[in-house]
Amino acid sequence: MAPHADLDAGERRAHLTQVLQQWSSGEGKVADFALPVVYNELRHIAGRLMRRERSGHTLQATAVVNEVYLQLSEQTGVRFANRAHFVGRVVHMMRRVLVAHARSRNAQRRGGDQRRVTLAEAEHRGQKPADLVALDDALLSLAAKDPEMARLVELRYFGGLTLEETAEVLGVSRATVVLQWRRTRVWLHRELAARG
Amino acid sequence: MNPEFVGDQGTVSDRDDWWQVDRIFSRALTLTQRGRTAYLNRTCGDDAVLRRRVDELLAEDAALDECPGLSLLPCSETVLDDAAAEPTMVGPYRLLGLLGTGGMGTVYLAEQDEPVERRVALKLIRRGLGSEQVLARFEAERQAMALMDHSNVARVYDVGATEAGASYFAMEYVPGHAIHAHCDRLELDLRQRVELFLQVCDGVQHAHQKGLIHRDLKPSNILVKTESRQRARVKIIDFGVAKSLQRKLCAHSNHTQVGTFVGTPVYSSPEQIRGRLSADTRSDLYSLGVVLYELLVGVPPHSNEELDGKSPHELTSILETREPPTPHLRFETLEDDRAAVAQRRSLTVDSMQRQLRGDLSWIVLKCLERSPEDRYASVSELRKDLERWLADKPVEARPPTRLYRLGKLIRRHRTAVLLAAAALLALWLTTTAAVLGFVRAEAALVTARRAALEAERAASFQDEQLQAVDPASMGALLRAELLRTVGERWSERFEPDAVLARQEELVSLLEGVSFTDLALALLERSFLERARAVIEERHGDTPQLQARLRQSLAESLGALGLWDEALEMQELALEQRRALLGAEHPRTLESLRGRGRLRLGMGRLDEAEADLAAAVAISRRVRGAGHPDTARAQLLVGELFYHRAAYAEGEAVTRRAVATLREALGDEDPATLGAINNLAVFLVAQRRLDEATALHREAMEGRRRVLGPDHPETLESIGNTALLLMETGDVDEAEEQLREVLRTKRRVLGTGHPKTLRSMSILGVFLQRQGLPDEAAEFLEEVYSTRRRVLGPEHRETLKSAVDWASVAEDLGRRAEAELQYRQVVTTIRQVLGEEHLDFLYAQSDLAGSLRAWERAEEALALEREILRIGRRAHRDTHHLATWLVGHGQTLAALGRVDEADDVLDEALGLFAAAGPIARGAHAEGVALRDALELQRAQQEDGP
Repeated sequence: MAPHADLDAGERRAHLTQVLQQWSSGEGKVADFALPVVYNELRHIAGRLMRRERSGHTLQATAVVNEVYLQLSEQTGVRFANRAHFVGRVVHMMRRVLVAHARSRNAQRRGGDQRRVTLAEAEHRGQKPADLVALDDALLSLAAKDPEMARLVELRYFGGLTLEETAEVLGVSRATVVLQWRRTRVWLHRELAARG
Repeated sequence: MNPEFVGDQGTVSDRDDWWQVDRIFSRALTLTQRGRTAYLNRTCGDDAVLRRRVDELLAEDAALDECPGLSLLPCSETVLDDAAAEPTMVGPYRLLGLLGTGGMGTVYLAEQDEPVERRVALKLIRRGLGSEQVLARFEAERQAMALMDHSNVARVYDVGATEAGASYFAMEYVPGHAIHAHCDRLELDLRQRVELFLQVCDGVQHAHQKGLIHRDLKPSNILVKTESRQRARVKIIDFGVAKSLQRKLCAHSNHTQVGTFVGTPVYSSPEQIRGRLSADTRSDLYSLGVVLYELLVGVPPHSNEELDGKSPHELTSILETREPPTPHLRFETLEDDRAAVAQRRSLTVDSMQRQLRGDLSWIVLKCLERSPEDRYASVSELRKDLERWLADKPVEARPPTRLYRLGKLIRRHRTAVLLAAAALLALWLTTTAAVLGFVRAEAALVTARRAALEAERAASFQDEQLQAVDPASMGALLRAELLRTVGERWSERFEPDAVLARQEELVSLLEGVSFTDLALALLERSFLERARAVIEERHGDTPQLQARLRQSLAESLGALGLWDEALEMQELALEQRRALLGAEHPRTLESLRGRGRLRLGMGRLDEAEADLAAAVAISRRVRGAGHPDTARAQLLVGELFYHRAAYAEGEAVTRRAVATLREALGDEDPATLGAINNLAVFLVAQRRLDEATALHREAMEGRRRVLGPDHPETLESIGNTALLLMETGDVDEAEEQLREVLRTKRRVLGTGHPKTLRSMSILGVFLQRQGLPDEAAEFLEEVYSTRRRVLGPEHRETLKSAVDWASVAEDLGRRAEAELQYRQVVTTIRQVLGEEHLDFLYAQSDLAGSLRAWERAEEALALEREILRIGRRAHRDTHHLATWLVGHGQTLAALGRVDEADDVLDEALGLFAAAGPIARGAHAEGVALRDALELQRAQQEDGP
């Protein structure tokens, strides 16, 4: 299925905002109507994320979407002002899903003897689950210093958002995002370094 | 929180000084490269540890930029530069100090005792770059590397891995500078640079013969060791390193699968960026070409900005579609930097341009051919051609591209091109003059009543003609016509795409020519005199029409900055209309506003006020408060307030005008947009930045839509928005916009135009604030001297630029000059604007601040007392007074009169609290002073 193949990005964006507002303001029924639109948007976000993560993911995009969608629909009283707000929220949920998955996979793999995946292995399999876990840890640590840094990385890395999209979600200018990104990536780099 | 990741020993971010380091680092990121050093010197002072931490962060920031794709992604590897984890021994090497940090790792100066005692440069590779693989690949290269023995290649002694799993290279230590820095430092000319470059060729050629490719040739890998006064030896470092590290360097970027891209985009060949495994010796040759290009021109063919942060795919398409600009064209794009670049080559701009046009550019461009087959077959071929050039013999390199031939062609025809331009202009002028004649003939033929109607219609047309006489559009027209006719002539002779390329070349050649200045000069001489004569002699029998034409001409002259001529014409129009139509007629009011505007422009504020106040009053009575004409008069009154620095009053009257115009003409009318812009300017002056941002953006976007991107008013809005960006901290973007606006204004308006000067002065002040007084001085001095000449020494704009100039002279350490200038301008401002004028009080307070800085606090004190005496009378309860009080407090503190300083500060901080969030800089200084005073007091109490 090619979701909204006939809509360009701008239209899709406006459409989603509209649906989200209906969803937020209306009763349960609207959620049924909103489902395909929201679901497709989720797939869109997740698809991009997965491409970035490459083939290493055993968890398929669909599975992530399903998981997030379930969580989303279970939450009551959710209100989304617009697409940006929605994307920010969804990315955070995706991070949690992905990291939870990576942590359990990592635990299985280690099998208790703390064996690390060797580099050669990692090269064949793409992204190491250990990386995701390390990243998540680093983010928690960054958040303790400045939550904005963690949020930025979350959007850029877990959400795969472009600079423009990130700016939209954070409600700041693109220039601000670029600057903050330069600052953040250095600290993130060091956090990761400290974790070996 | 999770104990696993908090309190981790040695994480830099967990140190106590994290906040401080982060603050300085973040601020440094907002500064342009050149401003950064000055800022760090200032902020870190003698704290070498702090400075090093920040430097390391900045180096890391730059290093992360070097990997395309990685610039957007975190890398999970690290540079081993954490001070706590800093090793003292690596393998058998004892680390002595840090040499630098780069994309791959950190380079230390180290010492070895066994088997021989020597100093080495030890490159410690980021942990996690896959040390087993590095070692394996290095082994493969090792044999070849062992064979290398050349005086221009730094030796690699050893490679190994630490117990912690980091790999390292031990290399010959080369005390010296990167080749570009070396040449610039000694101000070597082009010939000397080429001679030195021959050694680079030798080294690379030797390696190629041994089967080794460098893959990452760039200036920082080509060092020059000065062996004696006469003898400099080139040493190429890192041979074999790039290849060993190749596959893992950007392991977490988007593009890691096969043939990972290694290297710095600017210096990498297209095939290297594409990740072709076939990258061979000719790919090094390409990099050599870029290095040579930069050595000669001062910048690489494609700028960092062009290539930074691009994915390999985007990079490839850039390099595929864009030919490297010829050296002399690239040099021309440097604009204001040209003089400095030429000076570092002991050349003048002209001679440098000439030399860059010669055979040397063929040689360089042959190295930069897209396809490896078109480059030199080997480095020794390149070397031979360079030697031929040095010996003034014909070079092998064929003129490499049609662009080159085209450039030559146009240069040959430049005179013809300019003659064609002059002919077109003459033609255009004749046509317009003929129209004026036509109007008269028509008017004479018809009956009295019809004459009035027809004349009115003709006058409207004529009006448009005269209004259209602005040198900017004439210049633009001229340029367009020129391109068109020359293009037509070419298309008879050349292939279509050759014509296209030639036209592109012509466009860039004409970049430096101000058609506006050209048009203005011709206008003044032939057209305006003629127009005046036609109006005066032939329209005597149709006085209304005559008055109308006079009005139009007055406005045109004013817009051209020909003030005296404009005012003379304006007086005539006003008198004539008063006599014909009465003092309250809309046309008379138009002329009255016109005279007010001209007087305002000439700095005759009191006279302007009389005109404008009358215009507003009559307009309101006769046409009503909601009429656009009333709003137009109010806007001018607002401008008058601006010149008097009465921002709140200006804002109020402008706000009324904006409301009227929105209502009467709509939000997108140019007049409304202009009024919105004015209102925003008043808000900025009062530091209400958020409101101002919204309005400036509205005006900018509206003007861009309605008037187009090149229109002076659109430029004004872009400039104003840039100013705001500067306030809100987006300095790189601000600088870019400011330079862009200045470039366009110079081209469209001409160099001496008041608006061009204003842009220049803004850029100057911006650079000064960025801690770049040298660059700032160039602009500010030019603005000051031009305004003095054009506007006169007592015009408010001139005086403002005099203060700017004094302040930058002080920054440059030219104290005597600064003081003299300050004192002169303070005296003049006082005479011209009066002692209660903010311009005077601030100028005097600037002078007092300088005296304080020069440890002449007593003298400062006297000046400050006067400021406060006047300030308390004329600017009671304002943040201005608070600002001056802070300065006074600083002086008192400097004299050790702490209690008095405290009292003054109390008053100042109280005023700031009441005034709200304005004058933040002064406010912050006040708070800092309070802290300092408390500290001082505490120390006194602790003491004996």
